[in-house]
Amino acid sequence: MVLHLFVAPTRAEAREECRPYMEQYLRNFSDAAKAWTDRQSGQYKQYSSLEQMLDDITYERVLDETRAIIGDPDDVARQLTYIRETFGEVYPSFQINFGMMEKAKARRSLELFARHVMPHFR
Amino acid sequence: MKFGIDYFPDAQPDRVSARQYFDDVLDLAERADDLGYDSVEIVEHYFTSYGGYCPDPSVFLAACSQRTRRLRLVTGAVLPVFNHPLKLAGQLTMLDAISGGRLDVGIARAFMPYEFDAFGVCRVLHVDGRARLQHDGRPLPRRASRAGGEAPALSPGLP
Repeated sequence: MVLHLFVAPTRAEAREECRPYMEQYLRNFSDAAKAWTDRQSGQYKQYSSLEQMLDDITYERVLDETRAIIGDPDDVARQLTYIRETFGEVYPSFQINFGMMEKAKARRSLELFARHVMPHFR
Repeated sequence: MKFGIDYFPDAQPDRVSARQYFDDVLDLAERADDLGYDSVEIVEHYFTSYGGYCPDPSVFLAACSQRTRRLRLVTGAVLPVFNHPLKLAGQLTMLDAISGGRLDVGIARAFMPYEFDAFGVCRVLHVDGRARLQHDGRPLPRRASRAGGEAPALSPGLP
């Protein structure tokens, strides 16, 4: 299961710093999905409304509805537990550098997750 | 529980060049390998900042195989509709051999209309609501069909 992951030392930092990258990711996806807006296909039902669906997703909804894993290490462990309770034994595959994120921030997410969160789920 | 990393190149060329993008993600894959992650995965897309820096997961994963020691290398996914299936099977088998058997293959059907349009290999996604994937019509030779059926096993050694 592909999940966006952004981890920072504090919740406030994580939520604030992640915003421009997630918004860029959503904007980019929505732009690509415009290609579907006047097309229809029986084998790709609902894709015609993909752009609209994406335009309705705000950063606040991403946070409120746990559509991505964003927070400090404790938040992230809780969100991952929620994902597992909701979807079962998933194999998360993390997008760590979405929205043209600088490498240092992506690396920090990787490191914080590996050090503080991964051991609880092994 | 296993954890992987997934690359979806959504970089725009005027802000992050392909060279910069791949420099970054290869470094991050190396770091993920050291930190105990289980896999690295990348998409196949074309032409736009919706994944277009990676039209060929095999090329990227081959590079990853030389920068990492343990990570499984995952195609998430390859798209047979834009690749001749025999070429694709050979390429993936080669990658599996190069990486010491670390390849896991995901296969998908593609979904971006402009990709189907540009390749022109199938008529799909028209407004009549009927979508059919139509290859160029040439049937695969019988021997090739059998080989294709065995492709998922990824046994090394092509004929």
